[in-house]
Amino acid sequence: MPLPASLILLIGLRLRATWRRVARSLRTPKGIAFAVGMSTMLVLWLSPAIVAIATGAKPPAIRIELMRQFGPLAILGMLMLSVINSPTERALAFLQAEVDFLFPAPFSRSQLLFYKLAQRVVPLLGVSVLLSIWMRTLGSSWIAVWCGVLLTLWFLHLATLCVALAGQRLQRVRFARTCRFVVLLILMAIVAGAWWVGRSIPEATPLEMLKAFAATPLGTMLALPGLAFARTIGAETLWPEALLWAAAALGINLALLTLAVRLDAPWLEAGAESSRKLAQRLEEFKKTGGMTTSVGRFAGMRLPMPPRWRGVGPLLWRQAITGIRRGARGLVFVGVMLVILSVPLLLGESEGVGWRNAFRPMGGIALFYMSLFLPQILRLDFRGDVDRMDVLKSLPASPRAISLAQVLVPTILVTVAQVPILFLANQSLQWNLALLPFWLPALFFANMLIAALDNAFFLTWPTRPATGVGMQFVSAQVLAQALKMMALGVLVGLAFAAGVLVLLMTPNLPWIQPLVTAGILATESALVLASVAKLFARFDPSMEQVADA
Amino acid sequence: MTTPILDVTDYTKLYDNVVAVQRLSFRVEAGQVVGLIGPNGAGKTTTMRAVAGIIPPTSGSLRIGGHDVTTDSISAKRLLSYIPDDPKLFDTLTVSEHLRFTAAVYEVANWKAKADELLERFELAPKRDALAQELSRGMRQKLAICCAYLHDPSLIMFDEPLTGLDPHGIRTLKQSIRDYAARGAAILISSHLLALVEDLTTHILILHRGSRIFFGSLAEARANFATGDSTLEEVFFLATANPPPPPPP
Repeated sequence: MPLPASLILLIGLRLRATWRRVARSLRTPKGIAFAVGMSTMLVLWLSPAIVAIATGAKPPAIRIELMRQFGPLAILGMLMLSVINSPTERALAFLQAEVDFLFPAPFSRSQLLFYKLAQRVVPLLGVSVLLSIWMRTLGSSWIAVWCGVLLTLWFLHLATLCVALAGQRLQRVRFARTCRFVVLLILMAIVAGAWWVGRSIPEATPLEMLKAFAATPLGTMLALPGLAFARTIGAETLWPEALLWAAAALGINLALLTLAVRLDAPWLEAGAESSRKLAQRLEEFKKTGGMTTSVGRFAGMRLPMPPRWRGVGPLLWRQAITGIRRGARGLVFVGVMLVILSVPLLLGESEGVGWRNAFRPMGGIALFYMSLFLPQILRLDFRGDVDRMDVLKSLPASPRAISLAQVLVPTILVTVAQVPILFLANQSLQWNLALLPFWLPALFFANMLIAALDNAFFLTWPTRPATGVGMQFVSAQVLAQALKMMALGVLVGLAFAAGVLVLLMTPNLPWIQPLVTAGILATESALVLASVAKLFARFDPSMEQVADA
Repeated sequence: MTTPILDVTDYTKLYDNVVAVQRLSFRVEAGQVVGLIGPNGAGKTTTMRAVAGIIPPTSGSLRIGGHDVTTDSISAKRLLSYIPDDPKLFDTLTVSEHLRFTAAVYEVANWKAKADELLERFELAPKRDALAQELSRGMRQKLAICCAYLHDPSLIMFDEPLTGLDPHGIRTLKQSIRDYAARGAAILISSHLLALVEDLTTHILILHRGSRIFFGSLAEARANFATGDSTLEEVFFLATANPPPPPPP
């Protein structure tokens, strides 16, 4: 038997443990409140889709067509992302407890592999149900969508696993480089192919170019691995279309499963190493509640020490240097945005119309998300210092100075990252904002307001996960985000409303509007920052809450 | 000649071009307690992890009870228990569930009585229904030891076993090591606490920069490096004062 009874027992015990943990969290008023809040949000999110499924409402044909045309390439994209992003760590990561208990125990490698695969079944079932409800308009039958999503998720896992196992014979660094090289080649083939076939279409949008490419022999070949999965999701009939494509997809997955077992690669060492890294990241996540980023590439970067400025200077320096050393991924994002935004400029006035129309809203959305989420990712404020609150409180600096220093660095970094995108987007997407430079102070203070609000919420409710990412932690984060968005909406709305009012009163002096908006945002930031200082002064590290996960 | 419980022959481990362990050979017989000592980076944990079958050797052979760890890993691992320096547990499983699972893995008959005895001995009996995540560092260590002892292994390997243990736990662990050795188990203990090693072991293995400096009884070590009444600490410093040059890649 591929899976010994003891490993089946372990899977069962861990499932039982999950239910026990949920039941325990529901015994406390806070746990009930979180569960109710989370369920409400889930119902609000999914209820339109559930109603549509229950009433048998037909999804728009264009959505199904979209799935059938672009689904295979999208699945290829997901597979490439999965492979490029440390395949060994994604596919072969075990819990540290599994490494300690199972690796020295009398199990064969294939038994451990089967255990790993079997363990994924329950989460895959849960995730596929949620995703299929959300994606149900991409196919005519919800059952087909669910089946397709489940098979796709399984395919992505198995294919990444096979790549990781195949790579075990190579050195880790060489393997990672090979993966990246292959993915880059495929990406270049897609971009070049789309460009080549799309150049004859007048005012083509990126989607139209991709559609034309998908019809070429190369496009068809690249889309082939994902075809059965996309067609299962986007099937027009349950029988025979969905069922036949699902059978083909299942066949692909079973072939991959056989390949994974046949490869019988010596993966235990790589698995143990991946698990150590995963545990390290989880530990870091438990400490900070945020994403961790590598500092390796920028470890050598230095910054001059600014003057003391009542204690703000050294604190600013510390956070700035951490920010710069962690900035690699942020730089990649900014670089990608700049490349995308350059395309309409390169295409010229008439040929770039399609791209401009497609990306016009994207520039604004990207800037908005940067303001909102980049500080959360970087955690160069109190959130990242949750384990150093004792040190911060013992420093010879006032709470105001410390709070200002904590909030300034994410504000500056986010604004600096946004400015080139903003100017390029204005030019490339023809936003025609003549007064753009006047809006920069408003952007800076809006970012400061967001960072200050983030910290105010964090100091009021310093929840972080106890063991991994649990239900209470996620619920708390979702609720805090919702409250923060409401506060932000009111404060930014007030500032912009005042700006518009001033513009109406002084139509001949349009530059006053951004300055008034910036002034109000600055005042609001100062007020929130004063609250942050008070909350920090009152913050008792011994009372910090750790959410039961 | 009887088969040694652990037989390591010419074991070498390379990480890319870095030599972690070079041509290491030693044997541990039944009833012997071997102290594995050496400075940081000497290759102690790498050796233990290779014996446990977690990492493969680059070359050489590692045999437990005559079974090769690489080619006959399941038979070899049935005889083994390995307690790492910071044993990780399944946070959401209870103490008794850990033992139940371990019993299932090693097919231990009548495991409940044995588990109860171990829990009593290591003062974990009142905590049998507690989740692993609710245990203190020392209790987690004790639970890992209970799991390791449950199937009466022939070879028990400890990596820094005293971390987090209270005085009672330390005394119980030391006595249990003596008991298992008396019953014929081979024990390998890696530790920087030289007093512990001196107190418990019958033999010592000194590693430095991946190479074996010495393997033998404490009396032989004293005769080699120091005088008859020297402590292990003195022997250790004398032995590692003039280490061999780092092995070539």
